[in-house]
Amino acid sequence: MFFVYIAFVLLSAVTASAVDLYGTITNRTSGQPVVAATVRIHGLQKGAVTDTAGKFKIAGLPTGVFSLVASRIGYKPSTITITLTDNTEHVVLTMLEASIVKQDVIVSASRRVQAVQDVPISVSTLNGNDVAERSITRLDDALRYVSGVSVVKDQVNIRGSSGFALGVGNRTMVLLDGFPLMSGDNGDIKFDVMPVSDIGRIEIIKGAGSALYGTGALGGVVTMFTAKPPAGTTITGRGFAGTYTKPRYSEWNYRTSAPLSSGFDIRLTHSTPEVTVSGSAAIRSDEGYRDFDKSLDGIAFGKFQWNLGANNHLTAFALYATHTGENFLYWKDLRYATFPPDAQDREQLLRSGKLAGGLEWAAFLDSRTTLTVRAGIFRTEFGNLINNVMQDSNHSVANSWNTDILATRVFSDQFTLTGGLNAKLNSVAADVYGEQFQALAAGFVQGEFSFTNGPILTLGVRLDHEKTATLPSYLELSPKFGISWHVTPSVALRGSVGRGFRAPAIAERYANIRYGPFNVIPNPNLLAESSVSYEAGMHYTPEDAVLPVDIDIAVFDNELYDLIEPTFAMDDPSVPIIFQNVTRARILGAECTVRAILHPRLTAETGITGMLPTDLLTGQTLKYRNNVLWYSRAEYSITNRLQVGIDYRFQNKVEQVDDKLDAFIPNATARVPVHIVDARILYTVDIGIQQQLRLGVIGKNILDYYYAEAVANLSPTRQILFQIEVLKP
Amino acid sequence: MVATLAGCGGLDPTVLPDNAQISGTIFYSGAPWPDSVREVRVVLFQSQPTAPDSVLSAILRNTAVYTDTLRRFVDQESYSLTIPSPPRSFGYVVVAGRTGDNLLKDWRMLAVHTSHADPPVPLPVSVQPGDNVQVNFLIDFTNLPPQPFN
Repeated sequence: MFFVYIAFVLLSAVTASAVDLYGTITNRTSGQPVVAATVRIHGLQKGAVTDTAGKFKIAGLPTGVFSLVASRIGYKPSTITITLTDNTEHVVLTMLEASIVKQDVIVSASRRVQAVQDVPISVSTLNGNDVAERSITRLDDALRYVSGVSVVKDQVNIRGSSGFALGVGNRTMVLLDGFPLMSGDNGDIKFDVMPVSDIGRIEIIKGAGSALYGTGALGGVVTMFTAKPPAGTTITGRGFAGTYTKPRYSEWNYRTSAPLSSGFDIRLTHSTPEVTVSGSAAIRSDEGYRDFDKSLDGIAFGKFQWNLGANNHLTAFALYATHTGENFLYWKDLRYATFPPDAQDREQLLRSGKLAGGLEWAAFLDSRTTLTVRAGIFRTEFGNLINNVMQDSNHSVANSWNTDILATRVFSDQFTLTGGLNAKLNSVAADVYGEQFQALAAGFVQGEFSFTNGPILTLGVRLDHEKTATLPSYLELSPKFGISWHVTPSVALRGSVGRGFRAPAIAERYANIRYGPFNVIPNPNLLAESSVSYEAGMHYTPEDAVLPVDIDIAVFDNELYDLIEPTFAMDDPSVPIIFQNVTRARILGAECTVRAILHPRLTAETGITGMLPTDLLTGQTLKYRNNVLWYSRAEYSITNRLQVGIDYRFQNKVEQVDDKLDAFIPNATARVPVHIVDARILYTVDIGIQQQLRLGVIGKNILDYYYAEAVANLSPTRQILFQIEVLKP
Repeated sequence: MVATLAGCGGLDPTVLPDNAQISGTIFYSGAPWPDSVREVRVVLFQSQPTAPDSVLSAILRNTAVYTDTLRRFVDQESYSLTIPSPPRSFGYVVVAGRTGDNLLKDWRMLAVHTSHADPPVPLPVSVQPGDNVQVNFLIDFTNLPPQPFN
């Protein structure tokens, strides 16, 4: 019925007229403009940020009655009701200073714009500046700065959801502007494909998210949003160069000169009321802190948005990334941890290419209804390279097609309905996986009930149909329930229950491949793995505290069923690895995050996650999981131009690993706790109108602490980088 | 906290208290190298395997450890083997050669670490953390030792 309604109002959409909303936000006490406040239309995906004069513009709105919400760090949220007619409108809002530290706007939790405190599940955010000022070049490195998240060699592990799985079958869904970026063969995340210089914000949902996102969102969802270009033409970029310092142990010093890392990004944008164009390119070279670990990466990204005028716009993007590198799989042994095994074929390199493209049409069908239609492809290819010739062995080409229809209707201030359809097709041609296809089709719907001065209830369900090659098809039903409630102006409570599932990747079912010392054999009989996440949480922002502070506390229980893990097939003479549904597990945990402005120039944040991951079949701690993750950060502005920052990460020693690995790789199970300190000094200078130069010295792992996050892989040693950025403030 | 961390460097290649070492030299004599021997390894079993499929299960249960493939068609070859999780004792220490494609069945014992008694009996090898135990082998292709199974 909902979609019949959508189809009906769609016919009238093209004839509706667009209105531009202009506004100004001022401090209610001082009358001064409020800079960098976020302004959004309640229930719809439209918003803006105020400029240095406190002014904003939201273009292309339909006529009608809206709730306009403004929020900013240090201010109470302000809401007014506005009526837009055919004429351009101008509104004035005032905001009252408060001790609120943060008022993030979240899109991915309900696939529409919400205030973070209205979201019934734990969500963390990173912005583009968090990424740039740390000289981060890959998304996985950015996610290491989020409490409750760890990354082990391309596996994103949100609250213990993932272990060690040879890089396939990731349990976290990753999207770029709503388009999934999971490979069609391995079902993994290609971290080197992300256009980091274009990223404006990253949202991390902690917990099962299949009720909206379907397969893959077993442990959580990571959504990257590209930065919205400002009006006019801009050029920004950065260049960096640095080195890994000499290791303390001579056994690990694999070369006489210091291994270098360098790279640059450049981004050009042009924005007019009619069109917005952005393009970026990046090149990175890394000689590596280990022998046989050099790499060269290139990325190009382009995005075009055409405002069609009558309440709708069309967006197209294209992305290409290439990687060529030596392939360090595991160490010779701990004594020579920076060297590969003696039997390593040094003529053989690894080359991969990734191509993504997509189209999105988004429109207001009327003042209360939005419709978004997306279609895209993510093509991945990898293989061995010898003498610059791609080999036929260990070669795979995969295409992942995705289409998505999403509609949101704000029926009243009390009820919002979101629904959609999704179809996905993975086709694979590989000597290691065969020629395979996997098709998924789904429908989902979610209702949100907002009670005046009461809770916000969210109810949703998604039905997925999966079919792989000649295997029998099956259905997956993923319901969710959430509640959030501002019980006082400073306390918001939340609770949620949601189901997640992950259909086995084609690689897990059909792999017939040599991976280092392991033979991996197929298991077409794999079942989907699933999870149920329970969470209760509280967000506390005291109004009259001496220090502006923001506290978030959550307790959670993730129940995991039929977990797919790589296991040794003991009954096979060649003792291969096979993916099997082996484990029923439970992860109980608690997480606390505190953010505070300790001084007008000093901000700090700390987040600690404690977990009890238990394999319920053996009664032991689940393999490859930590019990404690602790992340802290602090930033101090010495002057308006000079800033220092420090980050600290701790992970306790992993209790359980598969000790059979020691039979294949020397010292494979060697492990210690993780203590990592990163630090940076940044100096900003003006170089012209609306343009700044930021110089930075960035130290990663400055204590040169040696640890192994992945099996038989020494993690990066100390690295010192010098960085120059051209910014648009 | 930083000072504490600075004093704790994490993994250390010079301190491997969990490991021991067994090394030595294999001497070849007798007939020329037979082409049928496709690979050679030193293997340490906790107890003598009684059937072909108990070899691999011993390896995967970590009751046996073995070297990488060693060089063939040489007069002598040195080897070194890291023993994880000592103290450990191995009751059957051998040089094994694979004579066919089947990883399970096609192994023959080329030499066994034995006593000098008559008849010789397998000599156990025990290692403590930090030990480096020397075990040498003499392989006579014209006079291979009794096989533990057919």
